[in-house]
Amino acid sequence: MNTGKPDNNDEALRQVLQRWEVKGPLPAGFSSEVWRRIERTQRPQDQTAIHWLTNLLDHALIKPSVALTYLMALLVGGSVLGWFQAQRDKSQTHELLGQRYVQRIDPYQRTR
Amino acid sequence: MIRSITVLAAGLVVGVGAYLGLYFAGTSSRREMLHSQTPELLWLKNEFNLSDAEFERVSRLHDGYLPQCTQMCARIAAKDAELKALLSQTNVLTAEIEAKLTEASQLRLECQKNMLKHFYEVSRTMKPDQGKRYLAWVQEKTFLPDHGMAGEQEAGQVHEHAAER
Repeated sequence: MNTGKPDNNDEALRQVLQRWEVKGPLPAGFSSEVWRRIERTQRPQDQTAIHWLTNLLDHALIKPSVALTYLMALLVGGSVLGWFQAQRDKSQTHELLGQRYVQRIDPYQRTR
Repeated sequence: MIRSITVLAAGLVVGVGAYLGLYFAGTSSRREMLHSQTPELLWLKNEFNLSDAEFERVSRLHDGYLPQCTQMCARIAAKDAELKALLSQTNVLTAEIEAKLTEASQLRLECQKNMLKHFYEVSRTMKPDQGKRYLAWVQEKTFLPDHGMAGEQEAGQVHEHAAER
């Protein structure tokens, strides 16, 4: 099946490329541009992912609806987390003070 | 790009601000309690919905009881030390150890009577339903301190029932 992609092992293509002669001057910075492209294709996957994510955020957060949703999500998330943490701490303190009251009034728990 | 970074940073500020706001608002009563001179009494006030007048009476009873309690603590510690000294001297049950054990149990009896008297006085200063709840709670915490063992026993019974099935 022809995938439309060049086949590196194609002998005929290789021969044609070897016979190919460049006539006329190359554009300025041609060589460095070629190396830059090669470098870009060989860049590690995580760097590409970061680049992709940065691009996505950059394009998404410009839209007011996305930016508002993001702000609201953080507002609600922060509020819920703060509330739960407060409830947990309150409940721990409640338990602790109950124990402290018992220790104050029971000599046997004081001397332990 | 600058706009995106601004939105990102604003989101973080909003999130952290919301967290801190809700946390501090939610724990204000806790902080107030912990910074008071008698946090355990404030806890009692909250837990058993005491009015200011009831709280005043409970505080007076508590202050009156504490010196007795402290004195009892000193006697218990002294008795424990005496018993410990006797136990370290021998490996048989001597008459002296037996006498000391009797004294220790008499001290425990005296201590429990004092405590119970205090609990009844405190419960009478509360509203009847709260007083009843207070008595049940405080007795559970002081007179029935071996509830862990009872729990283990119950767990054992559960295992036995499960094995029978």
